[in-house]
Amino acid sequence: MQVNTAVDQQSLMQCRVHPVLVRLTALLTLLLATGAAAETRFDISAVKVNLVDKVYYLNARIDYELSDKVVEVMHKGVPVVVVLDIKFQRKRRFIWNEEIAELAQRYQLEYHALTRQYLVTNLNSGSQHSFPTLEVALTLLGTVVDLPVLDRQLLEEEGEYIGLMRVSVDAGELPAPLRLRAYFSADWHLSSEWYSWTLPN
Amino acid sequence: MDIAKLRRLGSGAIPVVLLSILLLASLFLMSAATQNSEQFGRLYMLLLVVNLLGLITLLALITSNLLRLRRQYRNRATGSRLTVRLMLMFVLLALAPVSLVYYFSLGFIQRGIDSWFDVRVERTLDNALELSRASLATRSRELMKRTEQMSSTLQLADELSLPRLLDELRVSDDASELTLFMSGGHIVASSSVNPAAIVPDLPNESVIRQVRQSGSPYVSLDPLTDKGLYVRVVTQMPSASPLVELRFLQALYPISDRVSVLAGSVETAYTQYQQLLLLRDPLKNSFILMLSLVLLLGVLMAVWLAFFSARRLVTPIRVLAIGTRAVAAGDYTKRLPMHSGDELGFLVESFNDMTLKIARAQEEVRSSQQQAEQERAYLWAVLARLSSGVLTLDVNRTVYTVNVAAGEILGVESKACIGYELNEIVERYEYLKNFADAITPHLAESCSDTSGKGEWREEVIFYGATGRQVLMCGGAALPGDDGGYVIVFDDVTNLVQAQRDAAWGEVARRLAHEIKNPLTPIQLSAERLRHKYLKSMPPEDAVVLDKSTHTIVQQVEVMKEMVQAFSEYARTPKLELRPLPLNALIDEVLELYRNNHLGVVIEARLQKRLPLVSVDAGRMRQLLHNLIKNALEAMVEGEMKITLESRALSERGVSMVELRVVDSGPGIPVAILENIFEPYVTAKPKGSGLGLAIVKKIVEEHSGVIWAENLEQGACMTIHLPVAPGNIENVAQEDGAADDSASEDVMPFKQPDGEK
Repeated sequence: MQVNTAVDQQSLMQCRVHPVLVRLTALLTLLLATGAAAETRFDISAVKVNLVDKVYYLNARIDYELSDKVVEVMHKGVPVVVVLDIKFQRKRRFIWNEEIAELAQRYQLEYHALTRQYLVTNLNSGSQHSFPTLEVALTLLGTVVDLPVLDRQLLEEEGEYIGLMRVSVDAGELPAPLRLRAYFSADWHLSSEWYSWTLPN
Repeated sequence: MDIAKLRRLGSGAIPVVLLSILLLASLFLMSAATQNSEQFGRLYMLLLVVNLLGLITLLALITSNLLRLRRQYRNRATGSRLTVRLMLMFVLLALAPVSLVYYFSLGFIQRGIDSWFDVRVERTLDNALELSRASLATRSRELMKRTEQMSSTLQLADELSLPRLLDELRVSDDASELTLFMSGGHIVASSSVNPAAIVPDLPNESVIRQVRQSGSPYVSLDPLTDKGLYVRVVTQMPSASPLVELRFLQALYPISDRVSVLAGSVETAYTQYQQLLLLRDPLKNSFILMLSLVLLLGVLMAVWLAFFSARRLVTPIRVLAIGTRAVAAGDYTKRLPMHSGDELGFLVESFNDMTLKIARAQEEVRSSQQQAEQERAYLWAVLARLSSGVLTLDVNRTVYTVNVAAGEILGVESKACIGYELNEIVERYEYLKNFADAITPHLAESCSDTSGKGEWREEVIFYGATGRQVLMCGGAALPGDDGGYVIVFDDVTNLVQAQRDAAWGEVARRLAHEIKNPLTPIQLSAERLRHKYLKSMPPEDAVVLDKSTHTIVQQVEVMKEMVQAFSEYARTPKLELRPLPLNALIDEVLELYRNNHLGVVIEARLQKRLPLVSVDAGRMRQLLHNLIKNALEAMVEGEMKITLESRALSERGVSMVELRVVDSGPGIPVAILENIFEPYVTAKPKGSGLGLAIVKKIVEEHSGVIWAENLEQGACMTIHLPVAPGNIENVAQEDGAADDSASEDVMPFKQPDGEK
């Protein structure tokens, strides 16, 4: 069980798909996120992966810090979707890493005006919880407990595997009129850096 | 070919229409997306990008078109001005209404969206929500009290009866779920309406913490998915001892359906209104964006279409302009491509017809011109082969045609004369003055003579480049208004000479035959008479007989001499012309007269460096003898002097040698001066009367002229002889002793023609 608190630069380098694609993506990001570049208000503070019965379970702690704009919009009844992107790659020498698996865990955070409750819905499972305060809701959202992420069967005995995780607000789920503004606003470019760790055998 | 196809396709109407339809469709989808429809919502950004790309494409197209048009305008390409004008007109026509609609639409959007919002509605919604909350709060407090009562009841119960008691309480108090659990989340007992729900819905840790810390119950309204609203009450069970782990009771009460639905609708309305408030500006912006995109797209498409249609309209005009320019430049073979069947197409067709007709006419003109030229060439060939000289003049007496023979006869460069007036030619070739003077009156005559054919015929004698020439000229006015004149002439110099020679020869033969033959018997008879009867006759008669027979014999002798002289005159020996120095001949002849005992002084004033003359030496000597003899005979008393002068001179452009023989006699009687060179015309008491006739004959044989005139003292014979061809500039050295052969040695020029 290994936990990397810092971002492994080399892993990041190797996780890049293709130089040209990367450059294009970078350009596109630069275009879309003018003035909002690298706004990392979310932080993955710890990731722990357990192998139980040939299934990897993910435990993580994430600190969410929503911008005022996002909170304001949420209070007006607009749901905010937070996405947890998880990827698994096999390390390869000299060339980019091979993609093994990919999954996205989506959570919806909304405010219920009548009851003054914050509702957190796991869009993957449909389970819903209500919280009296935003802090409590965010704490629960930031605590990932025993999330099954990968079947050990998919991995070969030999080889070194890494996991990558990132959380971000999905502005694409916003109503259309807001979306255009969100694409060009720093308030909506909320995400963490890619956090990587080595998968235990 | 593929590229050409692509280009043709690119400039056609199809891509314009396709692009327009595509852009309009994407605009429509985007408009639908703005209505927040789930399906289109996802496409919003994509559509936006597609539209922007479409706009950029259109802009690029228009820019390239503009640049091209500007280049054409600068280069003053045909049709570019019209294209610009049409384009500007189309664009203005499109822009004006669109701009108006855009301006007012902007206002409508602003006001339309603002009209959705009203402070009263907002307040009402707030109040409704507040009311719902208050109503639910009342209910919650009630339920809290009931739960507290329940917890008291449960506190007294023992562990075993707890499940049963929970069931009873749940049923009695209309709760949907009752759960008794410990602080760690461990469930002690639970009762639920739904028997399938094995795991009860526990509150999260923060709630438990809150209840434990405050000691007061926690009440909240929970909106549970698919279950409507629930009132959740969590209360801490009174603890008997601090050692026993704290227990909590959670009760879930359903809110009645009706209330739930009502509260739900209030909530939904409130939330939607809040969302609308939030989206107010973004919505406006996105509508304005949409509208602007539509406008831009419309305008740009209109501009492009303007370009397109302007070019389509101008193309046939441009083609026509190019064609017109080609025709103006003389290219009648240009055929313009047909574009359409409208009026412009008709114009193009007419233009093609016109150029075709012009081309045909041009071809006809060319062929007839060619024919005329052929005829002219034919005529020229005929004229060139003619031995007669042909000269045509226009009404201004400008030379129009001169054939080769005419040039040769007149001694001029025939081509150099064409285009000059007669006067100008006479100025250049002065010796033609006689010729011009001779024909000019006929030209005026034939011009004025409208009735007849205006034909005339005359013998013209003039001293030309090659000496004396006799021309038989004939002329007529040419037909037509600007006809001019034609003059045909033949050089009959030789012919006249030959005819005269033949005539004199015949006379001489007759004389010899008819007169000379009887003379001998006459003479013999006279002599016989004298011989036979002179001795036998008486002396008186004998004297008469002697005198008479002597006279007969003498006269017969004279007659014989006369006939001899005449046949001498008529004889025309073949001339052997050679270029000879005249002075040498003169010296040679004068030598014979040097020691005459007649008391006559013969003086020779000969110019040195005299050009050679083409003469027959023998004939020339005879000429000189005759002249000197004639001069000697003319002088009878007083100072007797003969002067021979020779000099070179150029008269009327002709180089010649002049020989003058001047005597100091009484001169020629005026009565016979005119005919002095005719045979048997003489002023002298003795003489055959043929001396000067022979002189004239010899001069004419040498293409020369001779005339006689009286000076203050004596008479003067002047002879002009043409300079030998090729010797005009060459001057023979004065050499008195040079004989024929010597002069030949000195002047080894080309042999002159034996025949003149």
